[in-house]
Amino acid sequence: MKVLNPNQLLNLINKFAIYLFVLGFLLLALGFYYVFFVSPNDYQQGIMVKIMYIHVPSAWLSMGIYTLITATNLLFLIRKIPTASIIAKASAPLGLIFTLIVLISGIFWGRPMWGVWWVWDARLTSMLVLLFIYLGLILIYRMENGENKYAKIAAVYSILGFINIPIIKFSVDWWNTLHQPASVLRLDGPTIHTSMLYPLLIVFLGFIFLFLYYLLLSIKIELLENKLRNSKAN
Amino acid sequence: MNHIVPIIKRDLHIYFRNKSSIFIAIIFFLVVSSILPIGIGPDIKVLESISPGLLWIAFFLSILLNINIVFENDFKDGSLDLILIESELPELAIISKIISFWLIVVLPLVIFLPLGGIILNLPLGNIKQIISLIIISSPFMILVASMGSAMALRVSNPSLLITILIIPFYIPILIFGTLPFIENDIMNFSFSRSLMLLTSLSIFAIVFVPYLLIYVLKVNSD
Amino acid sequence: MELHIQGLNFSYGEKKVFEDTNIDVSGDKITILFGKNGTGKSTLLKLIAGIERCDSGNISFSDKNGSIFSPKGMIAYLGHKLAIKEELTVEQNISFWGDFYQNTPDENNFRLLEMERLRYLNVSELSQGQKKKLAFMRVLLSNKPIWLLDEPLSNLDIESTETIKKLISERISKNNLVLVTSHSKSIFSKEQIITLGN
Repeated sequence: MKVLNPNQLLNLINKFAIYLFVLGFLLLALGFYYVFFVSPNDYQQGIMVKIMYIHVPSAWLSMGIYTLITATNLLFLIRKIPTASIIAKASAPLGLIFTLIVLISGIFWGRPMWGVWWVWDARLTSMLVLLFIYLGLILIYRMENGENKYAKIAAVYSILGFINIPIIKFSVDWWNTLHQPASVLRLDGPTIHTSMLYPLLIVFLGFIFLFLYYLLLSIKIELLENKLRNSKAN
Repeated sequence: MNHIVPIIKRDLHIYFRNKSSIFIAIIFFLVVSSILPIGIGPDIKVLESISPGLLWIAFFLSILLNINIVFENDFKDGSLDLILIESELPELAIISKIISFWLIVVLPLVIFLPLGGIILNLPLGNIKQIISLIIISSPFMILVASMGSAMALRVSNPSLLITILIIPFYIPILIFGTLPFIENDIMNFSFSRSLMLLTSLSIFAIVFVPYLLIYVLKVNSD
Repeated sequence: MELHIQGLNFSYGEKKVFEDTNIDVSGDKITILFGKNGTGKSTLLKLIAGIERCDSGNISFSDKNGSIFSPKGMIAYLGHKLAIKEELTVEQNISFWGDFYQNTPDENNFRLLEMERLRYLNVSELSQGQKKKLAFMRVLLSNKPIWLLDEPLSNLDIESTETIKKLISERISKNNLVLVTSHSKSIFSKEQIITLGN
């Protein structure tokens, strides 16, 4: 927990953040090389299947980031660590971006496949709900009025909204609707072929490192702003 | 226990002073119910098929856009602080305020629900059932909406923010409340199943939300 | 009764209001929290009352035997926001508080505070000082052992000031505790002064 001290965190960020960017960039480059030059086209969907390599990792990330937000906010409420709230606040816009990527890439993938832009099945609807919850969360974080009250309120809201995450995950298992059931994160192990699984995981890792890089940058900005406000007030 | 009746009595007194609170929710509901058919067009069959959802949504909006009144008045003059620190059981005191809101806003709305249903061309056989579903889920709706109101207590124009924050949590209610009445391929979602689900949601809310409300109200108070 | 505050830390946004503050108060004198504007007098009262939560520290009450008890339901708080309903009459406010606290209003207080002829007026028609007196009547009606009063004498005329000073002084006892914020010292005959803000 010592790493959550603001000054030490700033030091850490200044020293190591850039490596995260480099790592993420390289992983993504590797992943996309794999995707475009090695992995096979789907016999039915043709080249459109490659959207999956953006769509699926983004989905994992949008849900994972929300879980991170919920966990750090719990830490904030229970252990009263202020930096935890800053991590949550900085993660929210990034989570929103990934959610948008899921929905938009899904639309472009689904249109040729299903013939429609949108369908109200369980997974799509619950993903849309996630989008709204992210938006609500960001709005609360912007309710800044000089005191720290909004941070606790955002924390409560994010924890309440967490109920949506298992619903997204299991929606395709519970209801047999249009969206494809889980192929990777299953109890029996992935059903997807390794030539598609590996690039998927590489892209996913690349996204994670990029997310971490931008997260650390946002945290740094927030910490510096706090420092500025502190010195003005005292 | 002893706080419930005095608080409700006083809240009713105050709401009646501002007569607009009672009527504005009803008028809003009827206005929304009236313009929806105009927007849908002349095809009665189309209107009939989507009317259950429209009724629910008109009801939601009427609640969400009015819920800010539940704590606002007491927050402004410090009575909310009083209730929170000087009550023996603050949770009961807060429930009393929720009950006051229910009596002033939800009850009149419920009385006008049949009229809304008729305007939306809801099949008469379904009106009674949908209204009972709405009534049974009203505790859940009010409690969750008041969470939004508690969170947005310090915002000057909270109604839109409250609506954005709380609508995601209304979606299950919307789904359960309309499935028995519209064409769908999802199993056999009967009215009684819906009734059961919505009742348990309301009970769940009554048991747990007051504690959350106290926490959020205390965070925002002063 | 005594109040002990140990290691209190509280920040209002970015501004640190209390840092490792220790305060001890006893009920055998009226305690005055004294200090200039912005030194945290009202905030301290709110922290003790439980309206605000401290970042860290311990606030505890002990009775005349020295054992610690929870002040829940034993505090009467009078803040800047008076907690009176402007839409209702004086009588309706008093009657609500009577039901809320489960006490019957003392008719004497109406006379003492010269509120009799205002009894059936709407609170919105009262002057600031009269509203203050009404709010103080609530504190009397609550009959709670712990009084936390934020500037109880502000906006009052001379006679009312004397009356309320007397009513507050009557609360000195081993079973009560009165904490008052003020801009002035030497108000009560038996008082303990705690100065805030350095």
